[in-house]
Parts: sequence; C-alpha cells; structure tokens
Amino acid sequence: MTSFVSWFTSSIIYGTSIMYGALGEILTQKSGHLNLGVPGMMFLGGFAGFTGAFLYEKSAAAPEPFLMVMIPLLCAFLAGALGGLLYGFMTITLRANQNVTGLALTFLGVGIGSFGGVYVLAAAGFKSFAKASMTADLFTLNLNSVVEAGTFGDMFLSYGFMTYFAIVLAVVMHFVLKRTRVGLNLRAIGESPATADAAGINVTKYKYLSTAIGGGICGLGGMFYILVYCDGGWSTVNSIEALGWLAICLVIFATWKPLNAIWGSYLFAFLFWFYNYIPGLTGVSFPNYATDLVQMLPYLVTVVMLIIANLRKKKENQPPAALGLSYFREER
Amino acid sequence: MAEITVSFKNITKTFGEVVANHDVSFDVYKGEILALLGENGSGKTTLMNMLSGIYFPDHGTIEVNGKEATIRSPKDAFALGIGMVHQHFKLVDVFTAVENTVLGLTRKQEKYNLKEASRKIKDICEKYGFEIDPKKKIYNMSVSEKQTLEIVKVLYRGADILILDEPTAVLTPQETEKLFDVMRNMREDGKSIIIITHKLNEVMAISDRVAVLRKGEFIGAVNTSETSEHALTDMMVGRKTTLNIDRPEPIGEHPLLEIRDLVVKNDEGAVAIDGMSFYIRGGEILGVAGISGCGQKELCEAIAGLRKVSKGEINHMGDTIIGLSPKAIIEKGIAMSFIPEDRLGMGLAPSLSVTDNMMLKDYKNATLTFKEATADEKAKRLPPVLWPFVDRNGARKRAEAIIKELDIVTPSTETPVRRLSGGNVQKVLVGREIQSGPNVIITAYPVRGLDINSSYAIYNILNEEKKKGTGIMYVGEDLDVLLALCDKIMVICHGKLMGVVHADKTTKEEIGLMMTGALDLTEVKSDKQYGIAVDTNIDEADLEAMRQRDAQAEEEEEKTE
Amino acid sequence: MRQRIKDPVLVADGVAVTATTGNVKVAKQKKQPLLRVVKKDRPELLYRLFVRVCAIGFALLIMLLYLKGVTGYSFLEIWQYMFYGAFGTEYSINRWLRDMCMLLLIAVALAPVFKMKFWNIGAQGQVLVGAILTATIMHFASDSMSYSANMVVFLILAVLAGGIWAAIPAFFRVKLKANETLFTLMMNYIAIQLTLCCVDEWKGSNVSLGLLNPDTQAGYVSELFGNPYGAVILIAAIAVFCMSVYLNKTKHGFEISVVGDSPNTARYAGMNTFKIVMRTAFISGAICGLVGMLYVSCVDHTLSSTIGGNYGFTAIIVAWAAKFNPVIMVLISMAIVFFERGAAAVNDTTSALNSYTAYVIVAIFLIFIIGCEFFVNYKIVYNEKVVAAYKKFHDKVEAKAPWLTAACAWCAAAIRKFSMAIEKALAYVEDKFKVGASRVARAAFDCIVDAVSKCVFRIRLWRAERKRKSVGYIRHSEENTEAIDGENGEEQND
Repeated sequence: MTSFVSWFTSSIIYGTSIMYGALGEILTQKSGHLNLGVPGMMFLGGFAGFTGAFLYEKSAAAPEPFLMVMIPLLCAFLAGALGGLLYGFMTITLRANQNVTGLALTFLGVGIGSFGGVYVLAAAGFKSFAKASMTADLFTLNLNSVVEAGTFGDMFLSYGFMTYFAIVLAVVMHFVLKRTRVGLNLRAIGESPATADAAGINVTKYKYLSTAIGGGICGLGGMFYILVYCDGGWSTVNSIEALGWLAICLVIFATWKPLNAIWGSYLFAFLFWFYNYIPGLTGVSFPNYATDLVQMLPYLVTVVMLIIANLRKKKENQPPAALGLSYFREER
Repeated sequence: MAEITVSFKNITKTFGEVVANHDVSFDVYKGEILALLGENGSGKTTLMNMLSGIYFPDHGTIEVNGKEATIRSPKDAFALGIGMVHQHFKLVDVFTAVENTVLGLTRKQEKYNLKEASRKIKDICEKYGFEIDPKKKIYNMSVSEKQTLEIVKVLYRGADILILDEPTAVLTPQETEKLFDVMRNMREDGKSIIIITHKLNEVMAISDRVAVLRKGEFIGAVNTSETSEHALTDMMVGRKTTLNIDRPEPIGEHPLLEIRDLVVKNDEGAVAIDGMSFYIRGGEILGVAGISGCGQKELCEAIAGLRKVSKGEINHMGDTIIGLSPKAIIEKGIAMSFIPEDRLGMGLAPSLSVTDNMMLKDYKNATLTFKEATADEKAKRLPPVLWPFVDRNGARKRAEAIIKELDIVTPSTETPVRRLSGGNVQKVLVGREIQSGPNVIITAYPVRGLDINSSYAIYNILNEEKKKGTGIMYVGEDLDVLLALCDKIMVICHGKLMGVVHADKTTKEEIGLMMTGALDLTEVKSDKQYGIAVDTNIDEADLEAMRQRDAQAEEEEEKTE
Repeated sequence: MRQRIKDPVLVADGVAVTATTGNVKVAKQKKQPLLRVVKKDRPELLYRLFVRVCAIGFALLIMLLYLKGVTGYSFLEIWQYMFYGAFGTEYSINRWLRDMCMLLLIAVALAPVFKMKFWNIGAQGQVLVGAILTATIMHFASDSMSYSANMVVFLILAVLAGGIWAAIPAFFRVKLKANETLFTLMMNYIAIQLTLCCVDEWKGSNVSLGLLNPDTQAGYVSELFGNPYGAVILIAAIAVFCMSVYLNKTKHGFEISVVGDSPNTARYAGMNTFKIVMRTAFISGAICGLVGMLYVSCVDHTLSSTIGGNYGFTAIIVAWAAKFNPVIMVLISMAIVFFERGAAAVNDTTSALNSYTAYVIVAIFLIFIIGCEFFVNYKIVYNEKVVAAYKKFHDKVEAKAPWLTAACAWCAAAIRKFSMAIEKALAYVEDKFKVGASRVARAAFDCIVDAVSKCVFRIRLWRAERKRKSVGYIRHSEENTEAIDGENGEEQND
C-alpha cells in the first residue's frame, strides 16, 4: 500500500511541474502563439530559481524564510517571463515564424541554463551537483507534518504550498478565461485577431502580456521541479527539457482548457512512473526496456487525442483558430 | 442647412506603389443617408476604413463634428461615434452573439455583465426592428443574421455615424427591404448613414445624397432626387456607357454539355442545387443570373468536378463526367475549362510566376508549345510521359504569346501573379484557359473587380470563343451585362431553375422577378407567350424530342461534310 | 460570396507615390506614435543580402563580446582559436565537414516539406528510426553479411523507416487536418523512447552501449577518397544538387510549389493533393532515415538517443532561414558548424567556459537570423517629429564637419548606383537569356560551392598526407597546427 501511496504522491509532484508548464503554454496559445520554447523557459526558470535560492542560502548568514521563498519564486518567474518576452518580441513585433522562434528559444534557454548552471556550481566550488537544501525544505513544508492524518494525510496533505497553488492557478485561469472581459478579449485574439483589432482591443498588448506571463508560469514549473521534485538539487545533466515537451503534449490533451490540465497532468505523471511502481505493487517484474516503452505512453496518448479531436470536430475542442499565425494590421 | 458631421479634407492613401485615394475631399451631413458610389477599386472601402480607424491617411485630415480627429484605431472611431459594418464580418465563430457584441468594451464604458448586455441588445432590436437571439453561436447563424448582428454591435456602442460596406451583397430582396426600413428608422433617429455600394437601383431607392469616387478620386456629390441612374453611371465610369457589347449570332444549337436532375449539397450540408436540368450549347453564351449564394458556386464546382454531386447526370458530348475529379476530367481529354470566381485562391497559384501558372494544368506533358488554337488540334493531347522535368521554356513561350495577345501589363513573365492588378490577373487566367482549346467554358463572375477596359477585353475574348463554336456558361451579377452579352439567360433561385429565357426577348424586371422566386417559368410556361428558351422545363418527352432532333441535325451535318 | 479585392487598380501607369510620414496634425492631447510599420514590396537582391550579412555580423559581434567577456582574451585571439579549432588540423576539418554535411542533409530533407507548408519538426525522430533499424541489423546480423549486403540492407531499411515515420503524421494531416507540428513533435519523442528501449536492452549490465561490432567493424562504412567520412560528404553534395534540381525543375517540384502555395489551386488543377503530400513527406523522412543510417554506420558506430546532438531541430531553422533553397542551406550550415566547432575549441583551451557554450552561441546566431527577416519584409516609417529631429542633427553635423556629411552622402549615392547597376546587369542577363536571374545565380552557386567544398577537403587531405609522410603522426594541438601551416614551402623527399 505504501507503494501505491508513494506512486501517488510522486505523480502529484511530478505532475505539478508539468501542470505549470502547461498552464503557461495554454495562456500563450490562447493568444494565438504556439511557443515551442517551453522547455527552454522551464529550464531558465529552474536555473534562475535554483541560483537565487542557492546563492542566497550560501551568502546570507541567517537566511530569512520569507526571502528564501520569495527570491527563487521571483527569479524563476522573471527568467521565464524574459524568455517569453523574447519570444513575444520576435513573433509579435518582428513577425517571425513561431515554430522556428520557439525552437531557437528552447536552444537558448537550455544552453544558458546549462551553461550558467555549470558556472554557478563551479563558482561555489561544486563539481557536478549542488543542493539548496534549506530552501527546498521550506518548499516542502506541508500540512501533514503538523496534522499527522495518516494515509489520507500522506496522499492529500503532504505537499508544499506550490502544489496547491498550481490547482488554484488553474481554477483562476479558467475563471478569468471564461467569465471576465479580459479573458473574452484574449480568447477573441486567439480565434481571430482581425476581429479583436476591429473591436478596439489592443492586440499587441494582450499578446505580449500573455506570452510573458505564460513564460513566467512555465519558469515557475521549472523551479518547482528543481526545488521540490529534485529536493533542491541541481546537477549538470538535467532532465527539465523532457518536462517541457510533456507540458506541450498536455496542452493538446487538455484541449486548451485549464481545468483539464489539472487531472491531465496527474494522469501523465502517473503513466510516466508506471514502470517504477507496478513491480512493487503487483509482483510482476518488467525487463529494463519496458520502462522506456511505458514512458512512451503520454506521447502516444497525445497523438491519439490529436486524431480523435479532429475526428469529432466539436468547435469548442479545437485549438484557437489563429494559432501560429502572425497578425499584421495593414495587410489588405 | 444641415450641419456637417464628417468632413474629409485632401485625403490621400497609398499602398506600396498603388494610390488608393488621391486628394479626396467632401462632407457628410447629419441625419442623412449618403451613398458612396463607385466601381470596384475606386477606393470607397479604403476611404471608409480610414474613417473607422483601420487604415491611417498618408496625407490630409478628417474632421468629425467640426473638430479635427486623429483616428488611429477602431477605438478612436468608436469614441467619436463612428461605427463600420464590414463586408467581411468581423465575428468570432465560437462566441455567442452577446459575447461578440461586448467584445472590446472597456470597464469605463460598462461593466462586464452578459445578462445586462443581452437585455440591452433586445432593446435595440425592438427599437429599430431587428431580431437577434443573444445566446446563439455565430457558427450556427445565417449570413443575414450575422449582418444584423454586426449592425446591432455598432448601435450598441452608441454610434451616430454608421458605415455600411456593401450590405446588400448577401441579402435577398426581402431582406434588403427590411434593411432599408431599419436604415430609415435610424435616420429618423438622427443618425448619419454612409452606405458603400455599386448598385445603382439601391442608391436611387434609399439614399438622400450620392458621392461618387472613381479610381481613387472624388468626382462629385449630388442629391439623389436631382440625378438619375444614367448620370450617376457617367460619373462613376467617366463616359457614357451604352453597354455596347457585341453579341454575335449564336452558331448552332448543338448541345455540348448536358446537365440532368442535378442535386448538389453545399459545405454546410444543405441542398444548394435542387434538381436542375439544362444544356450548354456550342457557339452560345448561356448566362446564369441569381442572387449571390443561390447555388451558382456549387453548380460551377459540381460541373468542374470540384464538388461531389448527390444525384443527377452530367454528360459532355456523350461522355459521363459526373463524379470525376478535375484530374480525371483532364486525363479523359475532355476539353472543358472552368474559370473560377476566386482567381488568386483557386484559378492561379498566387506566388508562382506567370510562366508557372501557364502550365498549371498540363505540366505533365513533356513539351508544351503554344499552338494556334483550332478545335481539332486541341482535342489531341499528349499523354503523360515519364519524363521528370517540366517544360518551362514551352510554358514561357506560351506566357509571352498570351501576354502579347491579351495586352497583359506585367514586368516580366517571371513576376508572381499576385503582384499584378485585378484585370491582368483575370487576363492571365482566362488566357490560360482559352489556349488549351476547350469546347466548353464555365466562367463565374469573370469581370468582378475589373475596370471597364479589362471587362470589355474579357467580353471580346468570350465572343471570339463563341464564334469558334465553344459553349460558354457565364455566371454574372450585372444584369445589364448579362442581357447584352448572353444569348440565353438561366435564372436560379435558391437552387432551383426558374427558367431559361432568350436575352433579347426578356426584360430586367422579368429576370428580377425570377431571381426572387416570384416568377417560375417552368410552371407558368403554358401561360407565357414567348421568350422562353427551349431548355426551360425540360421533361422526358421534350428530352427525347430534343435528342432526336439533335441526332438528326448531326446526321445532316455529316452528310453535308 | 464577394471576392476580396486583393490588388487595387494601377492608377497612372505605375507611377509611384511613395508613402512618407503620417502628416496628420496632432490633436492637442494625443501623443503620436514614434514609428509605424509598413509592409514592403519585395526589396532588391542586394538589400536582402545586406540585411542577412548584417545579421550574421551582429551575431558574430555578440558572440565575440560574450567570449571575450568570459575568457578575457582579445578579439584576435578568440578569432584565432575559433578558426584553428574549426579548420586547424585535418581532424578538425574533417569533423567540420562531416557535421556540416549531416546538418545539411537533414536541412535538405526538410526543404520539400517546408515548401509545401507541412511543418515537419519530427526530423530528429525520423533520423532516429533510421538509426535504430541500422543499429539493430549491425548488432544482430552484420557479422554474417558481406559489406555490400550490409550497406544495401541498411539503406533500404533506414529509408523505409524514416519515410514511414514521416508519412504517418502526413496521413492524418491530410485526412483529418491534424496539426502536423504537434504530431511530428510527438513522433519525435516516441522515437526517442524506442531508441532508449533498444539501448537499454542491448547494453545489458553495462553502463552504456559502447561501439557496435568494435572488433569486426562489420557494417561500418569504409573510407572514401581516403577520408573516413567521405561517404557522408559525397552523399551531402549529391543531395544538395539533386534536391535543388528536384524542387525547381521537375514535375514533382512544381506540384510541391503549387500545393504549398494554394491547396485549392492544386485541387483545381487536378493535382492529387493526398498523393503529393504523402510522397513528399515520405521522401523527407526517407532522407532523414538515411542520415540516421549514416550516423550509426559511418560516424558514431553506436546508437544513442542524442544522435546528432539535436541537429534534427537545428536543421529546421536552417531550412527555414534558407527559404528552402538548398544552396543557401550549404552556406548557413557551414556558418553554424563553424561557430559550433570554434566555440568548442575556445572552450577546450580555457577552463572558464564549459561544453554548453556552443549551444548558447548557435542559439544566438539562430535568433539573429530569424529576427532579421523582419527588416527584409517590413519597413519602418517614422513620424514627423523624428524626421525633424534627425534633420536638426544632420544640419548640426553639417555645420561642424561638412566633409563628413558630404562623404556620407557620396557613399550612399555610390552604393545606390552600384546596386542599381547590379540590378540592371541581372535584368539584362535575364532578358538576354530569358532565364530567371536567380536561377542563373543559383546554378552558378551550386557548382561553385560544391566544387569549393570538394576542393577544400581534398587539398587539406593532400597536404596532410604529405605532412604525415614527413612529420609523423599529427596530434591536434597548437604547435602542430602551426607546424602544418608554417611548413608551407618546405619540400620533403617522398
């Protein structure tokens, strides 16, 4: 039983990192921009968050808990937002091709993050691995350790605040998109920028804001991964990039609805760690390579979603109609 | 003297090398309906786009209510009380009517409350006489409902100056009358309405004043009561147009294309063509009249093989071509050409050069050389050869010949066609289709958007083809042109054939009545005396008789040869 | 349905009335925007070239600054390191050529599908499936097959695998309108997982999968022209030439351009869009599969999920930036690999950097290439105030140093005259020979570049051979770099 519980909890945590990435990308895609740079922004966010936490921990004699939490949060969000802004500048103002720009951003993000990581580690005297343990502990402060609610507590209350925050964020996003003016305007821009422009909406401002904020949220995802899932450990070889691609998958799987992203991310994470826990649970042992096959599941599932979504053709489940297209007003 | 509400002063706007508006100056008064008249390409829409903030003038000023106005965006226009209803609706498909209406409003203007907005919409509808269901999604709405919503949108924002861009293009006559009633109501309410149109009858019916633009320049503004259609045409076109289009005598009545009981569905699944039967005969131009959207597009595409046919027969000189794709039709050697209404979107590949477009249909042939067009030679086509390369030289020669013959203005044969002006684009398309030597030509709105000279050039080309014995089906919107150019006119109303009449024996009123469905010659045939062509109301007995007659005519021809 | 009027009627015979500044007087409260962006008519060739060269120049500058900042060397030193790193020894030239050819091959594979507006970003996956099949055969059966049998089997399997891997998303895109960007991306990751699966299975209890068939070298591609990567280079050169011809001169190429330009037109012209899309996607995947095979049997001799180091993605940007023109792809991939190898070389010589430097540098370069498109397609129109301010500045400079302004004006005029002359010459050539000038230039480029690249490595090879005979085994360190270049004239007896 503990096996199942640990499977559950690790899925929730892994899923939360993906969820952040997906939420950020949903926001960007709702404005009509397909940002393939999510892995890069998550990497940047993870790197910035880690660096902030690490440096503060090492440098301050008596680190303050509040700052220890806020600094990585801010750093990660800003780093991700900067990445999003760069993408936004190139695709909105310079009207470059979105796919290609996103890929370049991934390169840049992963490159700068990795490079910077080695640098920071080296500067602090570590070779290939370092931990910002105090900060990590803060992030994993949870209710369960206080309340001690047994299995239920283990499963549902033993997470740090970021996990719950992710769910809150998804709900807030859903509310904003569906029921507020801002959300309506944003959705209109993603469906038909010409219409939104004619209605007097400042298309450029909305697009910039959504790519930047979306990038920032992705950055938070990267930071969460490092500080919570990896227990604050940064190594020179990192797997944040894979998270980014899973997040993009999730956006499609969730048909661009934030609420779907919640359970979708947990499902993906579940599937991802399937191989690790099934042997323990059912006594069936899998050969090594089966794990790789099983890890294919999220991607396969997304492909199936892509096919089905187009088969059913329900308009509300389609991607935003203007996704991937640059808008230029003077065009006849 | 009524007060001036909008004043244009020396407005100039260019796009790249083309001048869309040049030094335009005129006034619009309060509480009037002003018709902005001009041919396609005269700059009417561009001018109004500047008034509504989509474009920005390069030179000149716009004054609203006496004060100079910088209208840099639709928002500025709304702030000044100007609202425009575009020809192409600016609606988000997946939203509801009320969502589309409140789109873009800021908190300063009103709080975001969909229920409140729905109520306000209903009030506006009652006041002016519309009908809108606020909760309906746009992709479920009909075209006229969408247009109504566009007008409601503009009124919702409190516009005092409304601009309607070709509103009646998509409406039936009844809907147009309703629209005119609404416009009169709005005028009574003190609003100024500018209606962009090129339909003279509507101008005379609804407007108080008329402002005429020609080729980007302002020609003059007159009171509607003091002018006539003829005078307006003069101003629009610059010279007296008695449409003297030649109409050579039709040669023989040998049917080349036979359409029987055709049933075609449109994109939404509704029936677009409902059991039509007619002939296209050689050496004759058959005009097709009907309100936009009555199925002409579906008819043309079905015959050309671009659309699936639910039921019926299409026979080309005895060969069944129903259900064949365009590729199969070409391969079969059937000499039929389709000149679509969407020139750059379907007939030509816009980014490819003139040369490349010339070989669009027969690039598979190993060599292409421009031959003198004679009917027999054209029937022989080279079979596709396993040679991998395209013959660009041949295509280039063909392009040069056509450019010379049709007087096409283009920097070179390698210019991408989308950089040519509308008339030249059409000439390229028509030229290519003609040179392949078809014996049936189907053309949809070939002179739409063209200036007078290009239009006449196209008429001449069609007449030349007619003289060679080609059968031409001409779908058009200008009844005057149809009456002058075509030998017979077939009228469609909501997918049904209303009758085929001889052009020289019918009147515009009759055709208008048929277009609206008020007159169905296939039913009243027995009452009417003359003018109805033999193709109206074909039934089995008539068909048999016709076939026998045609067979006899053929035999006689062969005997005489 | 009304037809949208795309082109307004030419008024007076093409007389240009250029749009200048927005001259509307400012209403007192409103602020005028500083500049407006206006879409341009296609600018001249020289200008387009100029913009691209500027972009590369800027990227280079930033890169040099970055390297200088981090390592502290001077510009010259950095440049030297980079240059020698990329071209200094026989080994590095080979490496450069090899990497460039692989990148080029993938980019060439992407050219036809991109031209058809089918955004295949699954190149990495297609490369991997080709590699997987090749490695499988190598692992299990190569020992018992002859060399040519090996090669033939590899070729067929890899090409088929890559082609099918690309055809699957194409099928769903045509039939169901599924978004091919996302679909091919997913196929990538499925392929990566398959690779990991194979690697895990074969490595057994080892930490990593070493070389396949290290003793027998079964399935390894042998040397060509004395160069271990000769096969790669040859195939790349052939591919560039063939793809160029395929896209521009064949019927298939024509179909691709029509389908990419306007699918409606393709349908109208009787083209079988489904067949064309599937065929082109298959070809694209097939070439990628071939690349995979080359990676396993010629370059790495092993299988890993990071084959080609992400060239699958870089190639996408190369293909796009080259506007699907295979010849320009050669130039761009040369530049990218040069930066990569050079940065790696600088990295080797200092401890301040790390192996990710190249990544960052290539990314910056790509961003500049992507961003410079804006300046080609759009022009900035400044408003009155800016123009007036500039005029004041200009007048001030004129008053103080009239020779400066005169010189600038003279230079500008000269450049304009020069570019007009070139345009005229090109137009003349075009007119005279009734051939598109770009086509002449392209054909010339084709030949020249191919010839140059072949010559370069042959020359180096020959010189190295000579050195080897006289100096002995060459290690790639600084002194020997100088040894090779310095001993230019010294003849040795054979």
